[in-house]
Amino acid sequence: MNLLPQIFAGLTTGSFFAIIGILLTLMAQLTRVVNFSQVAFGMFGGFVGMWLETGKNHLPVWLGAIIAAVVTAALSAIVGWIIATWLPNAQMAARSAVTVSSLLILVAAGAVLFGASHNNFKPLLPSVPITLKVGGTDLIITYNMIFLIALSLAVVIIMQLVLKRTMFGVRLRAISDRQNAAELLGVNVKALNVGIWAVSGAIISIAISFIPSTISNDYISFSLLIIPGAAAALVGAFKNMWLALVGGLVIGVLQNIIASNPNPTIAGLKDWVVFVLILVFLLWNQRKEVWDVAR
Amino acid sequence: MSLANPNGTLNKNMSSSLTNQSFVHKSWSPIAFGVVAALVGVAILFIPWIANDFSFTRVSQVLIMMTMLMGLGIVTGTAGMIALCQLTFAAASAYTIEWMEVFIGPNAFGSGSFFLYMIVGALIATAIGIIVGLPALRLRGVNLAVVTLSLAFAFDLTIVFFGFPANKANIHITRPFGIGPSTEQKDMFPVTVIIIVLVAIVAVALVYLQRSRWGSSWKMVAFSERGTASAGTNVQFAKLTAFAVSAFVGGIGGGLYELVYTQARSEAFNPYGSIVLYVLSTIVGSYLIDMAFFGGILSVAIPFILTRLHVPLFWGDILFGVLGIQGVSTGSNLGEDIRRGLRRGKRAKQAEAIAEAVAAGTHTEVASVPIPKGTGKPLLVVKDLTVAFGAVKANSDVTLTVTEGTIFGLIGPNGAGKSTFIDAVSGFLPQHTGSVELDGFPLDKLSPSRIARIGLRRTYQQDRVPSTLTVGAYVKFIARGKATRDDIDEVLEFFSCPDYYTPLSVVDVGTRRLIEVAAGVASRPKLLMLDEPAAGLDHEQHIAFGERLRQVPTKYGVTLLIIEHDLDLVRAVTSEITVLNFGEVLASGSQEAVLSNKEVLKAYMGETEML
Amino acid sequence: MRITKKVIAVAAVAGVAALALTGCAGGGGGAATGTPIKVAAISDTKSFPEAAQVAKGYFDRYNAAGGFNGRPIELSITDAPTGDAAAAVTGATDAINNKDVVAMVGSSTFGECAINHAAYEAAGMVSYTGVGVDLFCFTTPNVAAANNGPFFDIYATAWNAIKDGSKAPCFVANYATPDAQFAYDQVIVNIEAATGVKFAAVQNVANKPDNNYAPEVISALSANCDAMVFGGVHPVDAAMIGTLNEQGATDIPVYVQTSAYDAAFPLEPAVQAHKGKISVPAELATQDDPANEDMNKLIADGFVTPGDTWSYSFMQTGYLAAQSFILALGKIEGDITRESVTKVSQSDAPWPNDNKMWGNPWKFGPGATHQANSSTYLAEIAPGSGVWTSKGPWLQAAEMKWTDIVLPQ
Repeated sequence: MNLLPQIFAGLTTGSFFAIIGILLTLMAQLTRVVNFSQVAFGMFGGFVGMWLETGKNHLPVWLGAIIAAVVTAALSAIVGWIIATWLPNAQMAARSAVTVSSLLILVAAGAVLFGASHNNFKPLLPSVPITLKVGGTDLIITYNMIFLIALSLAVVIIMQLVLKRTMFGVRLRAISDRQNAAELLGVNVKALNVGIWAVSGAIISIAISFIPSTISNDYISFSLLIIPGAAAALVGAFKNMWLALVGGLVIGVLQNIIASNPNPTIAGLKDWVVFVLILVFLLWNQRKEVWDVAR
Repeated sequence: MSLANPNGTLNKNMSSSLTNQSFVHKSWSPIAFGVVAALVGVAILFIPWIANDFSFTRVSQVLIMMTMLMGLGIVTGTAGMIALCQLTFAAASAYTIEWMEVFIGPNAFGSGSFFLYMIVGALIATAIGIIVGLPALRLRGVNLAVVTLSLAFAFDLTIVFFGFPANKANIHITRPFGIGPSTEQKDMFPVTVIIIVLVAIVAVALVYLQRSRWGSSWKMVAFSERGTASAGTNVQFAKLTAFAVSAFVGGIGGGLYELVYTQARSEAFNPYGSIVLYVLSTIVGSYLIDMAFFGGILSVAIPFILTRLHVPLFWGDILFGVLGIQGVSTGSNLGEDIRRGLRRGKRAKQAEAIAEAVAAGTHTEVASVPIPKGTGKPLLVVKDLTVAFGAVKANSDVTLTVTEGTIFGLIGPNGAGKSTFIDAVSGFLPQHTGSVELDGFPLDKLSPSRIARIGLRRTYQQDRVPSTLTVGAYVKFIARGKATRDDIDEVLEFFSCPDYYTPLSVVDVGTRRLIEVAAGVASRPKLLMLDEPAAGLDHEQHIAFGERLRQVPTKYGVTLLIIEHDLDLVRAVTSEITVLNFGEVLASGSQEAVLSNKEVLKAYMGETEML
Repeated sequence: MRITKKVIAVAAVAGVAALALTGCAGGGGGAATGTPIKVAAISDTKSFPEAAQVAKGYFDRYNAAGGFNGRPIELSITDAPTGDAAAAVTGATDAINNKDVVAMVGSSTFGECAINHAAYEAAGMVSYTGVGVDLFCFTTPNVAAANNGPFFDIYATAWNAIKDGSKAPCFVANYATPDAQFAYDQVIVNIEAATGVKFAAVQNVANKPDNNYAPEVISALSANCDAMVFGGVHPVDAAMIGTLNEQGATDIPVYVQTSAYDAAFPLEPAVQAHKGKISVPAELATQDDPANEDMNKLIADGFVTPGDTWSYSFMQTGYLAAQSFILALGKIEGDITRESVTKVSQSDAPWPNDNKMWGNPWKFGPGATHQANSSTYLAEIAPGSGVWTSKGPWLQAAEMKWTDIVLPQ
């Protein structure tokens, strides 16, 4: 059986996991939060956008997408503000626990507001694929995949440039490393934090607007795509965006390869294999980090 | 009334009796609690509360949720980890029970077979709990949350895929003692009674467990992993036991679910449910048994009210989410808030009384003994110890020897590498080079908990005493069975610490360090390393503390290594001193020689004017 | 005032409470003033709010017109989100324990029949289910559903593919519960036996957390199928068609289940981009059918306010369940009790209900199983048209050699 089509289809979903993973890593690094409600924010915005595009409100799709991004950024900023205001010095786990609650709120609110909505998002890009002939096999590459991978790369490269090369980046790093020191130096820590939340919200919303049309749209299960996304981020130990990118793609491809196994029992183990793989990778990768906070 | 008598000296007997009155230990209280809870539970069954809406099913639901929350409370509340897979444990147990019902047969071991199946189910859940706990060995905090959530997801998928055995075989499991299968009152009444009894047993067992060594280790781990390890307790073991017990209780919850519903469905255990459960657990503080019960009531009452109001149930989740954010942001939960509210006045008074008693005690001088001279036998031998953090050498070729039965001083300006030295010797910096031997036994490459058990203990500059324990439970935990109850009382009294049953939450930070020292001594190590034990004490207390320290080597057979900035204290207790500066040994030798060394004076002049 | 966390928490609780209260529109009132006849429904208000709400609207109109001999019919609806087994059990237990509740009418959930059918049997209560999804809505004595259910439906879907001339159809279905998997497996065996056509590929997969069925569709495509039979809800079907398009299989005819039969489905971008025919066996009269006149009037008269995304066929089920219940009431001699309602429902007396929204005469009746709705009506989307076109005619169970699903044991 030819696995190449499965691999390329896997890259499409994997590219979505990758962008989630990258954003999670970015936020973990800069704001010390693993944002479990990341995708749920985007879904909420996406559904608001879709509601504006359909029914009685015939907004153009691109305008709906922009509004979705604004809504998502605003939601994200609100939660960021809560954490920056009330848990400025708390540990990462406590700060992240807030986002478990906000995940719950958004999923429940989505169910109440958009519960019976069965529609998929309208794509911004043509769903017609690009077909490449490679050794007699048709390889399908979708515009969505190209866009999502490009978006991932752009986020990683731009963030690295900003963090390493600019004064603004120095400030950003300062607020995560030495928040109190940064405050003493007159950096507006809270504003920067909220800003990062808003930007990451906008990016996830954009990514969701380009979600492959091969994934169906259910508010709850989609919001829980944070899980493979977080797994991708774990590959980079919430530190390395490049590894998160690779992790997302690998997870997407592996899932498709295993899921396409003709033996249904093996295919059913798809999520376990990824789970175990991540676990082994992590235990190996973090084998030397043994102790919590210095002393 | 004041605990200190007018002469400023403290009558020891008086202090004990008074503080004993303040904190009476009730070892029978969990059983009493359990019995009362069970009686109240049964009594409630007979109150025709909102006539038509009363049902035993609802009472059972409250208790099942309570069980889930109690189990989750161990990991999230007591041991301080984020776990998002509690329903997975219940599902695994329910699956096991159904499998045994289908493939071994109902009542295969008599009419109470269900209980056997339930225990097996809970044990299988425990095994899964341990597997999930494995990543917790290395991953902490939020990474673990991701792993548990992934597990919940993978498990959920698997169960959807393979299906629950009873559902597939189209049977319902058989309830014990011939109780009928329906959800009618006549069947649900005995089921509910069984559940009340089982949940009461679990609750009582958990209260005891929380007070046991395991319980202490969970609270320690939540507060400080380093503190736990240097108490000789394996951090991994503490986390694994927390996960195992949590999973076992979750498994019992799955069994109770089977008892009520007689057939499980995968949707009932999905990850979303585990997330709701986690949030509910943080809202109420479900490591407290009564709050787990309250959480159970909430989880049933809120849908009930919403249904009566014809409002979608998801509004309940939104409410939980909002309360969850509020709870996490305030760093508290309903249970703690209620307790704090109830004890507000009392606690403040207690804290004040304890502070006064401790202040009086620590100002009291004890019989003065000379600086101990030791046995002359080398106890701790460190050769060429080097610790590098990247290009920075925090310790470089440090060589020193501590003689048995002495008090050894390690001094130097801030940043000289003193604490790094202690970290390296106590096993927290396995990347160090050089050699460390204790009593001829090499310590290099051993884990901190192993080193602690061999007989090298340490205290910390920062507070490592968790406020969730009592003084006695803490000392007992640190002592690891090396001290009887009398020994503990004795050592607490010797250092003028608060009484055995005093909750650490009413003890100020300065006194906690004293308790840490007392606990270190009570564990009777060969060598106890004290990292600035006297910080926060005033001058008179320093003198009194020094007198007590001088007694330690002879009285308790414990050799001391002390890091201290107050040179008066150093002068008062040490026979030999090593001075570190920029990670290197600046001077080493007898107290007199070192403290008159010109280089030392020079290094110290910018640092302190105490010389 | 300083905005503290406590204030916000209190405000939030108050806000949620207020919102909750606004959802509590006052009930009661009407021309019928006698002792209410109480019925109950368990409804997943997220996925399937329609049936119970329409049943309620039907009763409201009926009560306004005088009710049953002056007695109003009072329907109480319990929300049981998918996955909340406790809510489903509680809803049924409350109804059973309340002796005044005579029957369940208009329930619609993913798994309520499986969870509660035994309780209904033990309590001697019948359920006129609106939308039944799990297997036990069609295979047990005390439940009869207005819809025909996913198993009958997927059989008809596959039948249409084969009848259209497919020699090598591929089957890709996702199921939410293991009983569905088991039933789908039987359907595949039965239809292969009935038609002599073998599926080129069968991908019968569990609900996936990530909703990504691309691997299965791609695998199936590699078996060179000439038609695709898709089992799943609207968004899943649309995503599967999206995968076909992305794999370049834009011309292949697609056969989807009735849950895709709503106005929005033909407008899904993937569906509009597909160049092959898309066909569905509608489980009830299609929207343009005159048989729906009275239900449309019910809506027009304001007894039901449909949500933006409500499915028309799910609304029909609520209408039909309520109507059938009232039909049964009319045949009761003596007191209206749970026993008398159950007795008459499970007898032949009131049946059939000849409402033409069904393609076959519907009856509850005495059977141990109830595939009460056993007909489908063909509808198709002409490529790119953006609308469902009713084709017909009614296809009956016997015509397509349907065999009832058999439970284990």
